[in-house]
Amino acid sequence: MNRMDFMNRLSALLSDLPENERKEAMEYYNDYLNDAGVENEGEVLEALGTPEELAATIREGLQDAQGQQGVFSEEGFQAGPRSRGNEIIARPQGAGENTDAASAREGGAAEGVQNGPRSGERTDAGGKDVGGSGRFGERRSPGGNGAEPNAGSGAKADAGSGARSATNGSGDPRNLNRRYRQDSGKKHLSGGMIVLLTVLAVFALPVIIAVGIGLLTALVVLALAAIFFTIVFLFGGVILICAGLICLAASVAKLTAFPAAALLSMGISFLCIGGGIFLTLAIGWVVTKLFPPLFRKAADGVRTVTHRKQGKDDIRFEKGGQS
Amino acid sequence: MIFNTGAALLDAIVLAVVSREPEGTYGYKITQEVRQVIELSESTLYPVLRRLMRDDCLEVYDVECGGRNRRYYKITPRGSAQLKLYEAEWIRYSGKITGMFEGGAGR
Repeated sequence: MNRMDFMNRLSALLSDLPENERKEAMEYYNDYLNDAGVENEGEVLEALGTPEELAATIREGLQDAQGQQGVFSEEGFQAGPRSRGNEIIARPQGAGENTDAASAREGGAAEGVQNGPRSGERTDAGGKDVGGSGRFGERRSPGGNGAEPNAGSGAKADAGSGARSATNGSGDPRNLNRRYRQDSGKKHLSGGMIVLLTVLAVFALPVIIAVGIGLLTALVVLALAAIFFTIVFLFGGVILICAGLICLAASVAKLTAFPAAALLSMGISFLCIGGGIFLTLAIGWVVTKLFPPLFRKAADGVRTVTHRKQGKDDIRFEKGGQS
Repeated sequence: MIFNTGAALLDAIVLAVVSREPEGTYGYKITQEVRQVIELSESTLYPVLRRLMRDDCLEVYDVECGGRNRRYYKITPRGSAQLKLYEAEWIRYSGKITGMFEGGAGR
Protein backbone atom coordinates (compact mmCIF):
# COMPACT_ATOMS: atom_id res chain seq x y z
CA MET A 1 0.00 0.00 0.00
CA ASN A 2 1.54 3.30 -0.97
CA ARG A 3 1.27 6.53 0.92
CA MET A 4 -1.63 7.88 -1.07
CA ASP A 5 -3.74 4.75 -0.55
CA PHE A 6 -2.75 4.65 3.10
CA MET A 7 -3.85 8.20 3.80
CA ASN A 8 -7.05 7.85 1.81
CA ARG A 9 -7.94 4.68 3.64
CA LEU A 10 -7.13 6.34 6.97
CA SER A 11 -9.27 9.34 6.09
CA ALA A 12 -12.15 7.06 5.21
CA LEU A 13 -11.76 5.14 8.47
CA LEU A 14 -11.85 8.33 10.48
CA SER A 15 -14.71 9.85 8.53
CA ASP A 16 -17.14 9.58 11.43
CA LEU A 17 -14.91 11.60 13.75
CA PRO A 18 -15.50 15.32 14.24
CA GLU A 19 -14.09 17.19 11.28
CA ASN A 20 -11.39 19.03 13.25
CA GLU A 21 -10.17 15.87 14.98
CA ARG A 22 -9.94 14.03 11.72
CA LYS A 23 -8.16 16.88 10.03
CA GLU A 24 -5.70 17.28 12.87
CA ALA A 25 -4.82 13.61 12.90
CA MET A 26 -4.47 13.48 9.14
CA GLU A 27 -2.24 16.53 9.17
CA TYR A 28 -0.10 15.06 11.90
CA TYR A 29 0.59 11.83 10.08
CA ASN A 30 0.98 13.62 6.79
CA ASP A 31 3.59 15.85 8.44
CA TYR A 32 5.13 12.81 9.97
CA LEU A 33 5.61 11.12 6.63
CA ASN A 34 6.92 14.33 5.11
CA ASP A 35 9.44 14.75 7.91
CA ALA A 36 10.51 11.13 7.66
CA GLY A 37 11.55 11.86 4.10
CA VAL A 38 10.73 10.13 0.87
CA GLU A 39 13.54 7.63 1.31
CA ASN A 40 12.09 6.37 4.61
CA GLU A 41 8.51 6.51 3.50
CA GLY A 42 8.01 2.83 2.95
CA GLU A 43 9.66 1.96 6.23
CA VAL A 44 7.58 4.44 8.21
CA LEU A 45 4.37 3.34 6.53
CA GLU A 46 5.27 -0.17 7.55
CA ALA A 47 5.95 0.94 11.10
CA LEU A 48 2.67 2.79 11.34
CA GLY A 49 0.87 -0.48 10.79
CA THR A 50 -2.28 -0.84 8.79
CA PRO A 51 -4.60 2.14 8.41
CA GLU A 52 -7.06 0.21 10.56
CA GLU A 53 -4.57 -0.07 13.41
CA LEU A 54 -3.61 3.56 13.13
CA ALA A 55 -7.24 4.62 13.12
CA ALA A 56 -7.75 2.54 16.26
CA THR A 57 -4.79 4.28 17.91
CA ILE A 58 -6.22 7.68 17.04
CA ARG A 59 -9.61 6.69 18.35
CA GLU A 60 -8.16 5.41 21.60
CA GLY A 61 -6.48 8.75 21.97
CA LEU A 62 -9.79 10.51 21.60
CA GLN A 63 -11.50 8.22 24.04
CA ASP A 64 -8.98 8.69 26.77
CA ALA A 65 -10.45 12.11 27.38
CA GLN A 66 -12.93 10.26 29.50
CA GLY A 67 -10.47 8.31 31.56
CA GLN A 68 -7.19 7.44 30.09
CA GLN A 69 -5.85 4.10 30.99
CA GLY A 70 -3.66 2.88 28.26
CA VAL A 71 -0.26 1.40 28.35
CA PHE A 72 2.29 2.37 25.78
CA SER A 73 4.52 -0.56 25.19
CA GLU A 74 6.68 -1.65 22.34
CA GLU A 75 3.59 -3.02 20.67
CA GLY A 76 2.09 0.46 20.66
CA PHE A 77 -0.84 1.77 22.56
CA GLN A 78 -2.71 -0.86 24.44
CA ALA A 79 -6.09 0.23 25.42
CA GLY A 80 -7.29 -0.05 28.88
CA PRO A 81 -7.01 -2.32 31.82
CA ARG A 82 -7.68 -5.56 30.00
CA SER A 83 -4.13 -6.19 29.01
CA ARG A 84 -2.60 -4.41 31.94
CA GLY A 85 -3.93 -6.62 34.68
CA ASN A 86 -1.95 -9.59 33.50
CA GLU A 87 1.10 -8.00 32.06
CA ILE A 88 2.44 -5.80 34.78
CA ILE A 89 1.26 -7.67 37.75
CA ALA A 90 1.80 -11.25 36.77
CA ARG A 91 5.38 -10.84 35.67
CA PRO A 92 7.26 -9.83 38.79
CA GLN A 93 6.01 -12.74 40.84
CA GLY A 94 6.04 -15.44 38.19
CA ALA A 95 9.55 -16.85 38.15
CA GLY A 96 8.76 -19.03 35.20
CA GLU A 97 6.53 -18.38 32.25
CA ASN A 98 3.27 -19.11 33.99
CA THR A 99 0.01 -18.82 32.26
CA ASP A 100 -2.13 -16.00 33.53
CA ALA A 101 -4.65 -18.30 35.07
CA ALA A 102 -2.01 -20.20 36.99
CA SER A 103 -0.29 -17.15 38.34
CA ALA A 104 -3.57 -15.68 39.39
CA ARG A 105 -4.21 -18.66 41.63
CA GLU A 106 -0.81 -18.64 43.18
CA GLY A 107 -1.77 -18.17 46.77
CA GLY A 108 -2.54 -15.48 49.31
CA ALA A 109 0.46 -13.20 49.02
CA ALA A 110 0.17 -13.04 45.31
CA GLU A 111 -3.50 -12.28 45.62
CA GLY A 112 -2.69 -9.36 47.85
CA VAL A 113 -0.29 -7.93 45.35
CA GLN A 114 -2.81 -8.20 42.64
CA ASN A 115 -5.67 -6.68 44.46
CA GLY A 116 -4.03 -3.39 45.17
CA PRO A 117 -3.51 -2.20 41.66
CA ARG A 118 -6.64 -3.86 40.41
CA SER A 119 -9.07 -1.87 42.44
CA GLY A 120 -7.43 1.22 41.05
CA GLU A 121 -8.00 -0.04 37.59
CA ARG A 122 -11.59 -0.71 38.20
CA THR A 123 -12.05 2.88 39.10
CA ASP A 124 -10.70 3.81 35.77
CA ALA A 125 -12.88 1.37 33.96
CA GLY A 126 -15.85 2.89 35.71
CA GLY A 127 -14.74 6.33 34.70
CA LYS A 128 -14.50 5.32 31.14
CA ASP A 129 -17.98 3.96 31.10
CA VAL A 130 -19.58 7.13 32.20
CA GLY A 131 -18.18 8.77 29.14
CA GLY A 132 -20.63 6.73 27.17
CA SER A 133 -18.28 4.37 25.42
CA GLY A 134 -19.70 1.47 27.32
CA ARG A 135 -16.92 -0.78 26.23
CA PHE A 136 -15.93 -1.98 29.63
CA GLY A 137 -19.41 -2.38 30.90
CA GLU A 138 -19.16 -6.09 31.42
CA ARG A 139 -15.92 -5.63 33.33
CA ARG A 140 -17.42 -3.44 35.90
CA SER A 141 -20.24 -5.64 37.00
CA PRO A 142 -18.12 -7.98 39.12
CA GLY A 143 -16.01 -5.27 40.73
CA GLY A 144 -18.28 -2.29 40.49
CA ASN A 145 -19.03 -1.98 44.17
CA GLY A 146 -15.44 -2.19 45.22
CA ALA A 147 -14.56 0.63 42.87
CA GLU A 148 -17.11 3.10 44.04
CA PRO A 149 -15.52 4.36 47.21
CA ASN A 150 -12.27 4.84 45.32
CA ALA A 151 -13.86 6.92 42.67
CA GLY A 152 -15.54 9.02 45.29
CA SER A 153 -12.34 9.70 47.14
CA GLY A 154 -10.62 10.49 43.88
CA ALA A 155 -13.16 13.18 43.20
CA LYS A 156 -12.82 14.54 46.70
CA ALA A 157 -9.07 14.66 46.50
CA ASP A 158 -9.40 16.57 43.29
CA ALA A 159 -11.76 19.12 44.65
CA GLY A 160 -9.30 19.71 47.42
CA SER A 161 -6.28 20.08 45.25
CA GLY A 162 -8.02 22.85 43.42
CA ALA A 163 -6.10 24.56 40.71
CA ARG A 164 -3.51 21.86 40.29
CA SER A 165 -0.82 24.15 41.48
CA ALA A 166 2.68 22.88 41.32
CA THR A 167 3.18 22.97 45.05
CA ASN A 168 1.00 20.06 46.04
CA GLY A 169 1.97 16.77 47.52
CA SER A 170 3.05 13.43 46.24
CA GLY A 171 -0.02 12.41 44.31
CA ASP A 172 0.34 15.38 42.06
CA PRO A 173 1.83 14.08 38.86
CA ARG A 174 -1.34 12.13 38.34
CA ASN A 175 -3.51 15.14 38.72
CA LEU A 176 -3.80 15.59 35.02
CA ASN A 177 -5.20 12.12 34.69
CA ARG A 178 -7.63 12.62 37.44
CA ARG A 179 -9.10 15.70 36.00
CA TYR A 180 -10.90 13.73 33.36
CA ARG A 181 -12.47 11.51 35.89
CA GLN A 182 -13.75 14.24 38.03
CA ASP A 183 -17.14 14.27 36.40
CA SER A 184 -17.46 10.55 36.48
CA GLY A 185 -16.45 10.60 40.10
CA LYS A 186 -19.50 12.64 40.94
CA LYS A 187 -21.59 9.67 40.11
CA HIS A 188 -20.04 7.66 42.89
CA LEU A 189 -20.57 10.16 45.68
CA SER A 190 -20.94 8.29 48.90
CA GLY A 191 -24.11 8.54 50.95
CA GLY A 192 -22.49 10.60 53.70
CA MET A 193 -21.22 13.08 51.18
CA ILE A 194 -24.68 13.47 49.69
CA VAL A 195 -26.22 14.10 53.11
CA LEU A 196 -23.51 16.61 53.89
CA LEU A 197 -24.06 18.42 50.64
CA THR A 198 -27.81 18.46 51.18
CA VAL A 199 -27.44 19.93 54.66
CA LEU A 200 -25.02 22.49 53.30
CA ALA A 201 -27.40 23.39 50.53
CA VAL A 202 -30.29 23.82 52.95
CA PHE A 203 -28.27 26.13 55.17
CA ALA A 204 -26.94 28.07 52.22
CA LEU A 205 -30.37 28.39 50.63
CA PRO A 206 -31.35 31.81 52.11
CA VAL A 207 -28.02 33.28 51.10
CA ILE A 208 -28.24 31.81 47.63
CA ILE A 209 -31.79 33.11 47.19
CA ALA A 210 -30.83 36.58 48.41
CA VAL A 211 -27.78 36.74 46.18
CA GLY A 212 -29.79 35.38 43.28
CA ILE A 213 -32.52 37.98 43.67
CA GLY A 214 -29.89 40.69 43.97
CA LEU A 215 -28.11 39.57 40.84
CA LEU A 216 -31.37 39.21 38.95
CA THR A 217 -32.49 42.69 39.95
CA ALA A 218 -29.17 44.16 38.94
CA LEU A 219 -29.39 42.42 35.58
CA VAL A 220 -32.94 43.64 34.98
CA VAL A 221 -32.02 47.19 35.95
CA LEU A 222 -29.01 47.11 33.66
CA ALA A 223 -31.09 45.79 30.79
CA LEU A 224 -33.81 48.40 31.35
CA ALA A 225 -31.23 51.16 31.54
CA ALA A 226 -29.65 49.98 28.32
CA ILE A 227 -33.03 49.92 26.55
CA PHE A 228 -33.99 53.31 27.99
CA PHE A 229 -30.77 54.98 26.88
CA THR A 230 -31.00 53.39 23.48
CA ILE A 231 -34.50 54.82 22.97
CA VAL A 232 -33.56 58.23 24.35
CA PHE A 233 -30.51 58.48 22.14
CA LEU A 234 -32.37 57.21 19.10
CA PHE A 235 -35.21 59.71 19.59
CA GLY A 236 -32.73 62.40 20.50
CA GLY A 237 -30.90 61.85 17.24
CA VAL A 238 -34.07 61.85 15.17
CA ILE A 239 -35.43 64.94 16.96
CA LEU A 240 -32.14 66.78 16.48
CA ILE A 241 -32.15 66.03 12.76
CA CYS A 242 -35.79 67.13 12.41
CA ALA A 243 -35.23 70.30 14.41
CA GLY A 244 -32.12 71.10 12.37
CA LEU A 245 -34.02 70.61 9.09
CA ILE A 246 -36.92 72.84 10.22
CA CYS A 247 -34.51 75.49 11.47
CA LEU A 248 -32.62 75.29 8.18
CA ALA A 249 -35.80 75.77 6.19
CA ALA A 250 -36.84 78.75 8.36
CA SER A 251 -33.44 80.40 8.04
CA VAL A 252 -33.39 79.90 4.26
CA ALA A 253 -36.77 81.67 4.12
CA LYS A 254 -35.34 84.60 6.09
CA LEU A 255 -32.11 84.73 4.10
CA THR A 256 -33.13 87.82 2.13
CA ALA A 257 -34.69 89.74 5.06
CA PHE A 258 -31.96 89.19 7.70
CA PRO A 259 -28.94 87.67 5.96
CA ALA A 260 -26.62 87.69 9.00
CA ALA A 261 -29.14 86.20 11.44
CA ALA A 262 -30.22 83.68 8.81
CA LEU A 263 -26.64 82.54 8.21
CA LEU A 264 -26.10 82.15 11.96
CA SER A 265 -29.24 80.05 12.38
CA MET A 266 -28.31 78.03 9.28
CA GLY A 267 -25.00 77.24 10.90
CA ILE A 268 -26.74 76.22 14.08
CA SER A 269 -29.16 74.00 12.19
CA PHE A 270 -26.28 72.29 10.37
CA LEU A 271 -24.69 71.64 13.74
CA CYS A 272 -28.00 70.20 14.94
CA ILE A 273 -28.32 67.92 11.91
CA GLY A 274 -24.72 66.81 12.24
CA GLY A 275 -25.17 66.05 15.93
CA GLY A 276 -28.38 64.17 15.19
CA ILE A 277 -26.74 62.07 12.49
CA PHE A 278 -23.83 61.31 14.80
CA LEU A 279 -26.15 60.22 17.61
CA THR A 280 -28.18 58.04 15.28
CA LEU A 281 -25.09 56.40 13.84
CA ALA A 282 -23.61 55.88 17.29
CA ILE A 283 -26.73 54.25 18.59
CA GLY A 284 -26.98 52.21 15.41
CA TRP A 285 -23.45 50.98 16.01
CA VAL A 286 -24.22 50.14 19.61
CA VAL A 287 -27.33 48.22 18.67
CA THR A 288 -25.77 46.27 15.81
CA LYS A 289 -22.23 45.73 17.06
CA LEU A 290 -22.23 45.91 20.82
CA PHE A 291 -25.46 44.22 21.76
CA PRO A 292 -25.30 40.98 19.80
CA PRO A 293 -22.07 39.80 21.45
CA LEU A 294 -23.47 40.76 24.82
CA PHE A 295 -26.61 38.79 24.14
CA ARG A 296 -24.56 35.91 22.86
CA LYS A 297 -22.51 35.88 26.01
CA ALA A 298 -25.58 36.03 28.17
CA ALA A 299 -27.11 33.20 26.17
CA ASP A 300 -23.91 31.17 26.53
CA GLY A 301 -23.96 31.74 30.25
CA VAL A 302 -27.51 30.54 30.49
CA ARG A 303 -26.69 27.58 28.30
CA THR A 304 -23.77 26.45 30.44
CA VAL A 305 -26.00 26.58 33.49
CA THR A 306 -28.74 24.56 31.85
CA HIS A 307 -26.24 22.13 30.37
CA ARG A 308 -24.75 21.50 33.73
CA LYS A 309 -28.16 20.69 35.02
CA GLN A 310 -28.74 18.35 32.14
CA GLY A 311 -25.47 16.60 32.83
CA LYS A 312 -26.48 15.96 36.39
CA ASP A 313 -29.76 14.57 35.27
CA ASP A 314 -28.01 12.24 32.87
CA ILE A 315 -25.80 10.89 35.59
CA ARG A 316 -28.67 10.32 37.87
CA PHE A 317 -30.50 8.54 35.12
CA GLU A 318 -27.53 6.31 34.47
CA LYS A 319 -27.16 5.44 38.08
CA GLY A 320 -30.81 4.49 38.23
CA GLY A 321 -30.35 2.28 35.21
CA GLN A 322 -27.53 0.34 36.73
CA SER A 323 -28.83 -0.46 40.14
CA MET B 1 12.18 -3.77 27.09
CA ILE B 2 10.45 -5.82 29.74
CA PHE B 3 9.04 -2.86 31.64
CA ASN B 4 6.04 -1.19 30.17
CA THR B 5 5.94 2.54 30.01
CA GLY B 6 2.83 3.93 31.65
CA ALA B 7 1.01 6.92 30.33
CA ALA B 8 2.44 9.22 33.00
CA LEU B 9 6.01 8.21 32.31
CA LEU B 10 5.51 8.63 28.59
CA ASP B 11 4.04 12.07 29.20
CA ALA B 12 7.09 12.91 31.27
CA ILE B 13 9.51 11.72 28.59
CA VAL B 14 7.71 13.64 25.87
CA LEU B 15 7.64 16.79 27.98
CA ALA B 16 11.34 16.40 28.67
CA VAL B 17 12.12 15.96 24.98
CA VAL B 18 10.05 18.97 23.98
CA SER B 19 11.44 21.13 26.78
CA ARG B 20 14.98 20.62 25.50
CA GLU B 21 14.07 22.75 22.48
CA PRO B 22 13.25 26.30 23.54
CA GLU B 23 11.90 27.02 20.08
CA GLY B 24 9.81 23.89 20.02
CA THR B 25 10.11 20.77 17.93
CA TYR B 26 7.93 18.67 15.64
CA GLY B 27 6.21 15.33 15.78
CA TYR B 28 8.66 13.24 13.79
CA LYS B 29 11.66 14.53 15.70
CA ILE B 30 9.95 14.03 19.05
CA THR B 31 9.13 10.46 18.09
CA GLN B 32 12.70 9.72 17.07
CA GLU B 33 14.10 11.20 20.27
CA VAL B 34 11.66 9.37 22.48
CA ARG B 35 12.56 6.20 20.62
CA GLN B 36 16.15 6.64 21.70
CA VAL B 37 15.18 5.93 25.30
CA ILE B 38 12.11 3.72 25.09
CA GLU B 39 10.76 1.42 22.49
CA LEU B 40 7.72 2.96 20.97
CA SER B 41 5.77 2.42 17.82
CA GLU B 42 5.76 5.23 15.30
CA SER B 43 2.07 5.78 15.64
CA THR B 44 1.90 6.07 19.40
CA LEU B 45 2.89 9.64 19.96
CA TYR B 46 0.00 11.40 18.32
CA PRO B 47 -2.52 10.67 21.08
CA VAL B 48 0.07 11.65 23.68
CA LEU B 49 0.85 14.99 22.05
CA ARG B 50 -2.80 15.62 21.58
CA ARG B 51 -3.54 14.93 25.23
CA LEU B 52 -0.68 17.10 26.44
CA MET B 53 -1.93 19.85 24.20
CA ARG B 54 -5.42 19.58 25.58
CA ASP B 55 -3.99 19.77 29.09
CA ASP B 56 -2.20 23.01 28.18
CA CYS B 57 1.15 21.36 28.75
CA LEU B 58 2.11 21.91 25.14
CA GLU B 59 1.24 24.58 22.67
CA VAL B 60 1.48 24.34 18.91
CA TYR B 61 2.34 26.68 16.14
CA ASP B 62 2.86 26.20 12.46
CA VAL B 63 6.10 27.05 10.75
CA GLU B 64 6.48 27.35 7.03
CA CYS B 65 9.07 24.82 5.98
CA GLY B 66 9.91 23.92 2.44
CA GLY B 67 6.63 25.09 1.00
CA ARG B 68 4.44 23.47 3.61
CA ASN B 69 3.45 24.02 7.17
CA ARG B 70 5.10 22.02 9.85
CA ARG B 71 3.47 21.86 13.26
CA TYR B 72 5.78 22.68 16.11
CA TYR B 73 5.19 21.72 19.71
CA LYS B 74 6.46 23.89 22.50
CA ILE B 75 6.28 23.46 26.24
CA THR B 76 4.06 25.82 28.23
CA PRO B 77 4.68 27.06 31.78
CA ARG B 78 2.14 24.53 32.96
CA GLY B 79 3.96 21.84 31.03
CA SER B 80 7.23 22.84 32.68
CA ALA B 81 5.63 22.68 36.10
CA GLN B 82 4.20 19.28 35.28
CA LEU B 83 7.58 18.10 34.06
CA LYS B 84 9.22 19.21 37.30
CA LEU B 85 6.68 17.20 39.23
CA TYR B 86 7.28 14.18 37.06
CA GLU B 87 11.02 14.50 37.50
CA ALA B 88 10.77 14.79 41.27
CA GLU B 89 8.38 11.87 41.39
CA TRP B 90 10.61 9.80 39.15
CA ILE B 91 13.65 10.40 41.30
CA ARG B 92 11.70 9.40 44.37
CA TYR B 93 10.21 6.35 42.73
CA SER B 94 13.30 5.07 40.95
CA GLY B 95 15.36 5.74 44.05
CA LYS B 96 13.06 3.58 46.11
CA ILE B 97 13.20 0.74 43.63
CA THR B 98 16.95 0.97 43.26
CA GLY B 99 17.23 0.97 47.02
CA MET B 100 15.07 -2.10 47.16
CA PHE B 101 17.24 -3.91 44.62
CA GLU B 102 20.49 -2.96 46.27
CA GLY B 103 19.21 -3.65 49.76
CA GLY B 104 18.02 -7.05 48.58
CA ALA B 105 21.41 -7.86 47.05
CA GLY B 106 23.31 -6.85 50.18
CA ARG B 107 21.38 -9.05 52.53
